[in-house]
Amino acid sequence: MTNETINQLLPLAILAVSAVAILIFIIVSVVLNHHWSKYGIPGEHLKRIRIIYFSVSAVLFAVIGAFTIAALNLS
Amino acid sequence: MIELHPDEKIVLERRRFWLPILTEAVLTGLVAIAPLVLFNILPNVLPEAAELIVVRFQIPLNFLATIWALFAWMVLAVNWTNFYLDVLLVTNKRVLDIEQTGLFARDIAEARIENIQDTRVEVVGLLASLFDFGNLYIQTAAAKDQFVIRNIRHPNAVKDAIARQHEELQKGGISSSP
Repeated sequence: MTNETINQLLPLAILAVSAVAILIFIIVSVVLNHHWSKYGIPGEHLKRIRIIYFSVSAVLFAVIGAFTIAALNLS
Repeated sequence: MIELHPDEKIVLERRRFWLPILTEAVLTGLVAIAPLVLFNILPNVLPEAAELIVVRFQIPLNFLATIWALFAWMVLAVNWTNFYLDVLLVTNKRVLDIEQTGLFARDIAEARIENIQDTRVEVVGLLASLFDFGNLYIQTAAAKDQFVIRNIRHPNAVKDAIARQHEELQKGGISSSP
């Protein structure tokens, strides 16, 4: 595979992997949220769980986004 | 949410011992950051050829490593949810043992306080003695089998809470009876 082909395919591959990751994240988050709301003990715990889960996920998505932009700019 | 009966209050809430989930969290954390560390350390230690690959694809490799970390985070969240939803509740009317066996599998065992005949605590081993966790056996009048709650923290406190509720229920029953 030539450098040119790699450079052409890389942005597409990165966008596809990002899309799949976002889709899986949405499904897992909906399932987890459903479980926390339906079966969890009401109270401050649940609020904290949601804040931690979505904050860490947001940081990871920000890093993924930064690498995606950098990879797209490289090509 | 767990539905409580009218006039029912949660007296005590206990989860299983936290050490297994903590170990799992640490291991998942290590597995999550391993590729990121690897891809950023390799250029300093690898021979020239390998170094070229890592340096040339550093951004896509770091991108994949972050995706990997995201998946590890989701796995940890699922495992933690299984741990978190595994709970023993002592209310003023019932003892509820909710066991999350998988994300879509739950086992709920329930014993009414007035039906509890005997409770027994079993603490076996060094770790169990050190961290004060063990098994709680509840014998009810209604059920043939014993009700077993495994690896629960401070089992004696749970046993005492059940005994207290039993006592209060009996007192209430006696005072309200004509």
